[in-house]
Amino acid sequence: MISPDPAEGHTARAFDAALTDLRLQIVVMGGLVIDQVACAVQALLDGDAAQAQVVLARESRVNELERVVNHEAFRLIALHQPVAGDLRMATAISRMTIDLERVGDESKKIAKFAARLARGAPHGPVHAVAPYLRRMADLTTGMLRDAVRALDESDSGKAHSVCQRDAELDAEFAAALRRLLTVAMQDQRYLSATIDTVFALKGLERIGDHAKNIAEQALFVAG
Amino acid sequence: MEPTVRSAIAHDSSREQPVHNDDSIRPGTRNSPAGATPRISVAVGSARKPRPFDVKAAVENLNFYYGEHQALKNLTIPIADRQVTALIGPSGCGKSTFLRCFNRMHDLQPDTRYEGSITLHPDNLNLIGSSVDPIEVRMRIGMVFQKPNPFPKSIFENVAYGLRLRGVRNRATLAEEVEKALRGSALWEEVKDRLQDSALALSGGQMQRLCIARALATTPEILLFDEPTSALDPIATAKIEELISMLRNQVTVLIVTHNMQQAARVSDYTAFMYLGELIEFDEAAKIFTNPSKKATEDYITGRYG
Repeated sequence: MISPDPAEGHTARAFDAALTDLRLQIVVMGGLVIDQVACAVQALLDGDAAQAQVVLARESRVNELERVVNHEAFRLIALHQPVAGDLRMATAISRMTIDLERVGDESKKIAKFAARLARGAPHGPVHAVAPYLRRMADLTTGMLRDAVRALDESDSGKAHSVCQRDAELDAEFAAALRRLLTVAMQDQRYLSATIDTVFALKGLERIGDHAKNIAEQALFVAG
Repeated sequence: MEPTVRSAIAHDSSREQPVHNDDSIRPGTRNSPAGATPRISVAVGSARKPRPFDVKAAVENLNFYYGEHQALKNLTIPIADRQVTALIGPSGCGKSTFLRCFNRMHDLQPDTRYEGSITLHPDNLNLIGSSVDPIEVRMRIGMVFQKPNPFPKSIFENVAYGLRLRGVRNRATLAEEVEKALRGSALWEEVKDRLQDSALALSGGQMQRLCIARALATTPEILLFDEPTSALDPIATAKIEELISMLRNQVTVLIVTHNMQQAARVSDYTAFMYLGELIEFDEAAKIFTNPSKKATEDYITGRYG
């Protein structure tokens, strides 16, 4: 509709290619991080040392992706000086990598606990809240998936649904804590494992917050 | 008393009202009493609280024709007092034509026609009124062009020219005013020792600042800039932009620019025009972060079509 003015601004094609590339990397990073959460919780539930090791080994890839995507977003802003929707997308991508990286950190902590369990730490507390851990893992991975999609597709509806599900996650977390407290009061031998389990639950609750942050970035992009 | 004049703003409730509608430009009042500067609010989008501003010139239903061709279509834009308003849009959208209406440059061309009004406040002078003398208009409204166009005279005479035209004869007064104008355009330190040298010996950026000094010397109420930096290198451009930022608060500035980053850097308000129509007018920060119209977004992000 508007004729091009070659004297001014970035060429849309080069910029679009760079931005599309960034969005692709964000989806890749999101996929990896979601798998980290799922694997970490699975390792915890199964007391599976090998699975926990997979999570710990992949943690450096998450960090590397954060570094690369952030650098690319920074470069894109410096070289193309995007404005309006383009600028919102570039800054949102840059910010969401921080949230994804922290999700990676939380997964790592859960995996480390899983490794301790595999080495013989008592399983009691984890088994007591296993259904909660499973539900919270399903909820958080679903929220993360939709948050990343909401940003990639500028879909405010999906973003809103992520924010709503965070309340559900918080309710699961509170219920799991109550259950754990009951178990701890009946049998005080496993205090250390109980504390670790609380941290694992808290980690999942935090992952939900990061998903919510990403969903908020998606709303920011949608304008 | 009109509800939009400044005194009404004292009642805070008038500001709290959700003033936005679809296009949300409430023009200044045409019939407000002389001496009162209308104050209006611009609000587009949802919950944003509008920032009211004083209107220096109210453009209302402005149409302009080159012969049969209508170059400007029913433009209504408030020009904020002592702020920088940038006009952006693709070539041929009418932004320069619009700018030239303000000092009646089109009068020099036969077979052109204005409709509507550009009301200059506070004395409610319709700049394009047929009974208004274009010479008087140009006395109050200065212009700086794309290519620096100093007279083939000395630096001093270039700046003194407009003052002499107004009958200033006193040497001391002239010297004082010339210095003030050159300081105002950030050129004084560079030329104070060679005021009698030819203006044509200056660099491009200096020449442009000399033209700004020349325009400033006659203390204009509105200063029009028609792509003032398109012929300059980045450093000279930065100096001119710096100067425009300094002039804000002293004089109302209206600038046409092809450089979107420049509009984003220097302007308080930005109007996006396309095919002679106003597509969107808002605070520059809003236009460049989250414009309301898709056409604006497409243009400023470099996606045409």
